[in-house]
Amino acid sequence: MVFLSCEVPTGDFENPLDWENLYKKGVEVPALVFVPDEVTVSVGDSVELRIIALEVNNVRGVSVTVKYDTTRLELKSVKAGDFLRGGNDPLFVYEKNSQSMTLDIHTVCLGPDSLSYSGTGSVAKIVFSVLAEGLSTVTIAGKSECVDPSDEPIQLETFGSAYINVE
Amino acid sequence: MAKSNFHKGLEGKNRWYTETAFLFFLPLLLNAQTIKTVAVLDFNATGLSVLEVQTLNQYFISQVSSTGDVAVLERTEIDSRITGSEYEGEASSCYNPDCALEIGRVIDVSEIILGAVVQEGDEFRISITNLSIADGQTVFSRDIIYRGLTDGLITEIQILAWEAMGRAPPEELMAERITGAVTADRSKSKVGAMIRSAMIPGYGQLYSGKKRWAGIWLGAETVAAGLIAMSYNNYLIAYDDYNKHQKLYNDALDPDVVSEHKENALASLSEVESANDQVKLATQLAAAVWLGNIAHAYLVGPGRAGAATSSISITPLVFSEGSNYNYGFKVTIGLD
Repeated sequence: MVFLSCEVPTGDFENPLDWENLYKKGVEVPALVFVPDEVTVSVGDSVELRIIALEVNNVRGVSVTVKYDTTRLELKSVKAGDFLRGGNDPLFVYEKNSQSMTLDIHTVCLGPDSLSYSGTGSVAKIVFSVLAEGLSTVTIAGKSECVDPSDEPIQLETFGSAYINVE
Repeated sequence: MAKSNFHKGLEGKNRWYTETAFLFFLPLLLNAQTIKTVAVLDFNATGLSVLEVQTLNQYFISQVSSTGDVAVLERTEIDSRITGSEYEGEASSCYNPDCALEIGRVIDVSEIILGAVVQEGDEFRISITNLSIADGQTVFSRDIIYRGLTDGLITEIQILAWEAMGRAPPEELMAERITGAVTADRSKSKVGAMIRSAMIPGYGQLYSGKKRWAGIWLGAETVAAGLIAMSYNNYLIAYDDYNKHQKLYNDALDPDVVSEHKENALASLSEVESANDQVKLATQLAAAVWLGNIAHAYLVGPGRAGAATSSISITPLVFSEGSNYNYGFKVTIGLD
């Protein structure tokens, strides 16, 4: 009691969309990244990853190819994010390929031809179930792209990865 | 006119007589100055008749007078001296050290003794306290439990009179003591006062009859405890704010929003650290007060005359080094 002192938190500022963290990790914009980009779970747990379009400009549609180890992670669900959702829900389709261990996601905003979105937002939400211990890596493939209203690809500088540490 | 030889001779003889008389009475004068004056107040009694209490009181006073070098102020003289003062008429109802000390100062004695006798069935609880008027310290304090005949009770009262004056009772008095009659001797001691104050601030001072100091220490510790509570509450509020902003930061999906929440979380974190510093400071203050109270309880606790209690002072100190604060004490012991 003589020298009572309370716990002082150290601050946990590891949000992957924190500019400071982005700079530290060498992320250059515009980019497609995962949030969170690091997580620790146990076998049987579910992990939710969001695909974030980071500082993009004049985007009409997004095509993302996600690579993951199907022997360690089981795809449970894929849902559309809010980035391309204006007044209408975006067109959103996805396809899982167990042989190539990939998940292809395609999403386009619906509306006038000139409609597009800029800035940062969630493109998709993916939920995996963890099957095995160890480190699992989920990666956004380099062939992923964002397109403008003219269906022209927009140059992306960084394709992110997420590290799932299973204890 | 020149003095005659007869007058000169007379002057010489007068001077010789004066000087001789002075030398003859000098020891007596010196001895008179070392005799201390003591007043004995009426005992506070429960379960005894007025006559019984007065009898015990007289036995006590008689023995005090027998201890030597003591002049016991007669009751009539006590009443006479406090007549006209604010304590007039209170000599017979003063049973606590605070009023005893005040009366002692008014009647101008060296020491004042107060006592209590409680009868419960065949058991007598006797409490005697001797206070020094000069410094307000407790010279002697003792509580005993006596079971036995009345004769034995009187003997114990007489023995306490000698002990209260710091003298060993005479052998013939001790020989009259009934073995085993005194079953509990709860002597008050400095260590007892110190232990009590360690448990509850001010309790040791109360144990020693220092009610005012007991209130001061208890009040100070209460204030310090209040500061701890207030600081801790501020800490909880700041921690709550930090958690809220941290969660908003973790959940944000826009870098600009993330930055905003990060700024808020850092500000809250700073407040948490500040509140924690306040808690530490308040805790150190409470600890300093607690330790000071323990030391003070020991110093003012019951003890013998001549013990180093009359010129000791404790001064709390605060040291600052930048934003850090430390507390300590300066103890000054007079060697005069």
